[in-house]
Amino acid sequence: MRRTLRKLAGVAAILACVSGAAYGQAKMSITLANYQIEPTEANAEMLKVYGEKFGADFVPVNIDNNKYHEILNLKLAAGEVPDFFYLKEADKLNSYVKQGVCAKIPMDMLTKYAPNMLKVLNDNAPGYLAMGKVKGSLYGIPAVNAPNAFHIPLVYRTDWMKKVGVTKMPTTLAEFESLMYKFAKNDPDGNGKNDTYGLSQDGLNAVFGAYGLVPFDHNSKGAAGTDYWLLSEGKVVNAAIHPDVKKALALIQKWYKDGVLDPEFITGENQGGYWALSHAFIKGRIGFTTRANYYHWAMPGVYNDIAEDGSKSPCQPGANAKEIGAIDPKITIGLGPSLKGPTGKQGIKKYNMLMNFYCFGKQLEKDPAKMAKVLQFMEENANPDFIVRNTIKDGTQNKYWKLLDADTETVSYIPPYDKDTGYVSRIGATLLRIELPFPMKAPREQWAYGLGYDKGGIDNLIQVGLPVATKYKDDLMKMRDDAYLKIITGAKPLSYYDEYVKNYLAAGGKDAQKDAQAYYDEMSGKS
Amino acid sequence: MSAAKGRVRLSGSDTAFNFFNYVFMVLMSVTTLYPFVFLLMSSLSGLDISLGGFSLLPRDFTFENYGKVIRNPAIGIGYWNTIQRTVLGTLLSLLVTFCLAWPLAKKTFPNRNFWTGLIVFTMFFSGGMIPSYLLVRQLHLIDTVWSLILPELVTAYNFVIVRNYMQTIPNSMEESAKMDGANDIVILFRIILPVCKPIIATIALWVAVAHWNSWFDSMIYITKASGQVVQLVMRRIVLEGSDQMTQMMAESQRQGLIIAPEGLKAATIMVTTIPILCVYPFVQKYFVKGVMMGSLKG
Repeated sequence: MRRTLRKLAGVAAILACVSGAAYGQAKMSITLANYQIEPTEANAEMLKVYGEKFGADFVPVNIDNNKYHEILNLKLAAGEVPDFFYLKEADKLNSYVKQGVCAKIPMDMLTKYAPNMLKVLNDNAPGYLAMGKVKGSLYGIPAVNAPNAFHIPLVYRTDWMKKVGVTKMPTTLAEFESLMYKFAKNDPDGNGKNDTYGLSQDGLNAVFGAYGLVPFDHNSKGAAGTDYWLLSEGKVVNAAIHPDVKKALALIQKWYKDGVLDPEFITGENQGGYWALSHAFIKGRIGFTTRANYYHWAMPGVYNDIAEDGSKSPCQPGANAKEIGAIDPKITIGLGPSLKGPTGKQGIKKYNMLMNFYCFGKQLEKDPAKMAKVLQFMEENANPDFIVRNTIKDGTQNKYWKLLDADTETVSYIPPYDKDTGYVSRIGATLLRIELPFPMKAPREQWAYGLGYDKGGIDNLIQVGLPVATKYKDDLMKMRDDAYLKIITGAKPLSYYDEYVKNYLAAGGKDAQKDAQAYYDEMSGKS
Repeated sequence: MSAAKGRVRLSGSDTAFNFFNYVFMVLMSVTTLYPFVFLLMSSLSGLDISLGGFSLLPRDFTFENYGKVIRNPAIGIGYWNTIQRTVLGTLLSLLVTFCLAWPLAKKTFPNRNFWTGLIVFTMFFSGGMIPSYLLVRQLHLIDTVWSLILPELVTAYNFVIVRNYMQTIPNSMEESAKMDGANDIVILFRIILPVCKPIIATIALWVAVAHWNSWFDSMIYITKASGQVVQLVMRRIVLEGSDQMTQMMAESQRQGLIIAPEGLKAATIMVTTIPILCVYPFVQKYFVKGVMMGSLKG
């Protein structure tokens, strides 16, 4: 026993000499700030694994994700620019570049050190790489959220539909309107009281969507929401002042008057608790909603997950579905397609696929060797072999996770990691991970494809924050909400819309539009 | 007073006043207590309590949330760090505040008003976050417990309260001690401090609660995982998946991820809040006295 140990020690010593000689010099140290669930210790396992692989010393810069930009700014101001950092808010790229924090990323470096990453981006998210450009040069690699290719869900109470005698999911706005009136008037819950409505705040997305519009984004709590830009007759227009909004508002105003729109729509469908819940829907006040994501509404067994032994098992319920099941198991829901409107347009809101940017510290401009190292670990995330890229995501295979099914790229986490979501940050994996738009193969996403939810989402023309638009955003959005509300509740007549548009343009909307147009022209001219 | 003289007959308007007084007190108590009870019930619920309406009972009663919180290693480490900073920080803070306030409470201290003014000045003007960070970094305090204690060791407000309190102590006490042969140190620790008990209790409570509750300094100055305070861990759990954006990012790490349910968040808040609440009853009797004595005299 002791002999073997000594032998092993000898081998280790030789190996150490050889590897030391091979590298020859001290390892280059690379500081990393990225999305984290929990902070990472300096000598975390995966940092060491990849440090050895790439011959670098990966140093975590732990920044709490809930105050990410405040703390990052503090570090930047103190002169501690991380070598690699992500921008939690994609809107920030412009100002960071302006302040000289981000390094220019030469295209030839990308093609040389990260060809797979480039290919994944270009194949699955064409045009997104160009969003990382400021004045023609690349400063940020986009994090593209593939699941956001699916638009928001159109959720109906199918048991109510049966009760009011409708069997087919609405596909046009006219069919939708008639169903909403039936939900409100024909006592679908059968309690003999006139206490139901068709839809509430989130449901309005479906109406605007039928006109090809996404005028507001109320789901993002805290933030002012996202600006949605559209192309209208060759011109860039903010959806908030699109002429067709007036048509949609006319309809909604009528529904409000007729008691089809829940008068509580002003305060929203969620009344605390988990953000994705629609209390109004779950409690049977309304029969339609578009809240949250499709997977929050997956009733048990609508698709099959792959179980531990490789067999198929019915999926677990989503957050809303779970609550519905707890209230009354007899309730049934169904997910319908986006609606076709009278102007011939069809669609519904989808979230921006551009999520974040990955940037390099300014100091890397003069240190191409370091930039190459950073690109190398980014490239590891784009490896065509699923096992390789999932190791950088979830840690060492068969220690933290095992592959259940190669076709659907389904993994299962080895206990106790199955219940521990933060471990990936503790072992340092999240620091090295970048989000890339690989095709989605899991059963859950196959269900969404089956629903046709990858089509009909309304793309936001400009997903990065433009300086002028960002400057006026808060005021303009307040103006918009105020005007919509007054028109819907009938406090102002429909003709007030034109006055609002005039005020909106005068209060900075015009400048923002001009800025957006210039940005769009530049982008479309070059890419 | 009325107790000594026996029952005093209340006039009609007095009765009315008392009646409304009680009603308002009860209403006030309920409005402050209900959120706490709500949180307690939420922490004992297996389902999202926001769907239960106005209720005093948990939905789907379970202790599982508390089990999960206690099993979370980050909570344990955070607890240790918080206790450490609270105990150490409170003791040091008291010591330094008193040593500073005592001389400045003496009328004979040279340039007394200047030094006091200099300290009070910091109440209105502060260096800001970035210079503070640079200072702490250049003192090599980053990642040590001292970064959480030293920057806020003496707050101007506490100093003023203590100094004003000390000014109310008659000079003759000190003089008599001096005649008995006591030196300044003996006077401070054996004569003055015992008289200052109410203000010590008050300041100790303030400082301890501030240390217990604070998380932002830990977020800035502590970069290693093992040095973070429990409030920061709590905050992270509570904010997890709290909106579309954070959900999206958490989802990108693991598809179909189970975001910490509301019950778990509530249980975490309870576990991190209850210990400091338990301190209040013990210092209550000194509390009002200390604040009043310290603040009234300018």
